[in-house]
Amino acid sequence: MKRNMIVAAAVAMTCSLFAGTAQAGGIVVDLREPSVRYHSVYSLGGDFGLAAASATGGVKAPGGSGGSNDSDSDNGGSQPVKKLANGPFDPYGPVSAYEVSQIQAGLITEDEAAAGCGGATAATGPAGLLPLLVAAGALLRRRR
Amino acid sequence: MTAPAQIRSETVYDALIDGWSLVLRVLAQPCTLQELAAHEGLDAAVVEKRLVPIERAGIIRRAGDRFEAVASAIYTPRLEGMVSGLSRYVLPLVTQVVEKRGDTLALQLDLDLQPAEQEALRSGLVQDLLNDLHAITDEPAARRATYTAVIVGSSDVPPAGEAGERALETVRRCARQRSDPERASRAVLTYFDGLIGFEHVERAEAAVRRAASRLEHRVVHERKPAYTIFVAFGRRDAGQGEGR
Repeated sequence: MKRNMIVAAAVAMTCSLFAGTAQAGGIVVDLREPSVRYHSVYSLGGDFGLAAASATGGVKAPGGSGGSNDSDSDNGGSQPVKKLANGPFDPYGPVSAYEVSQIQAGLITEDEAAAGCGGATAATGPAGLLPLLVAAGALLRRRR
Repeated sequence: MTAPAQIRSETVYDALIDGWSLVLRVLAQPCTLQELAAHEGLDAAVVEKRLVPIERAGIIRRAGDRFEAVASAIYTPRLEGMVSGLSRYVLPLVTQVVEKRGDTLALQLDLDLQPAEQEALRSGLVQDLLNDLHAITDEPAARRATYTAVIVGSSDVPPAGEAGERALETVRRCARQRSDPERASRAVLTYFDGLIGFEHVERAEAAVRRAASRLEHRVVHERKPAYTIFVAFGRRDAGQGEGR
């Protein structure tokens, strides 16, 4: 019974949102949506960590286990914390200095850093996802 | 089974990714275990094992001896890192376009759109296109294949250049734009996968062209564009689009 309730919450029907009511359809992924939706605050003057105000699900501490993000977050999201000064308590674990630099560069969102996605970005190099795309472009040029 | 479902849990998202081709097949029409095994080219016992997590996640269910989807379509946000998401969904088809492999329809339009119009694209024109594609997957067909659509829109317009390289640069800029809270809502980075009957592929391509034609009057040639949208539709290379 409990499991059914969880499933119902996880796979929520959205009849009012979409006009299409075909019997069959496909799968749509919106990649621009952040991995998790919650408010976070971090301060460069405090601990490098995120004080999350509220979480609505799927939140993992950086470098944490579980989810489809494991391989990514294991690479960069679990770097040691640099404590610069006293700061707020961080209920979701630390965010590394590397991830903060990613946030500052605008390459990942704070939400993604808190969810461990910063590790994915950090793992690809200082410029986040750019090297991946640049490398893809270079690969294609070489193949021609 | 008439409404789309929205996935909000990482566990369900993981199950969806693992059982992607099975879910697509069941979305197209209810199937028996034997039918699924035949489509996948796998032993029935293997398929049955793969069905367990998808069924447990609530994406599909048993109805007698058949498996059916709980919804007519599935919508999900990206519940994984951006790099993994781009690699999994966007780059394979865009790379195909860049390399001019396969029979992929690709269009890029530079537009003169106001910020509010840019923001309305995802829920308007893009959603209309998705609804059209969903409807086409609903058409009866003897043989089907997985067809993919990638829609990328950004107000960070790349300079003129070779079409494929520019598409790749548009993806890069769009992926970056969505990390900027001020401009994220104007970025469109949407992926569609569906089983479409071979006889309906032309209709699907026509739907893509029709969506593009709705923007034709906003295309700019000489002035600096405020927005660019890249749309690709095609069958992904074997091994990339199916059997994931």
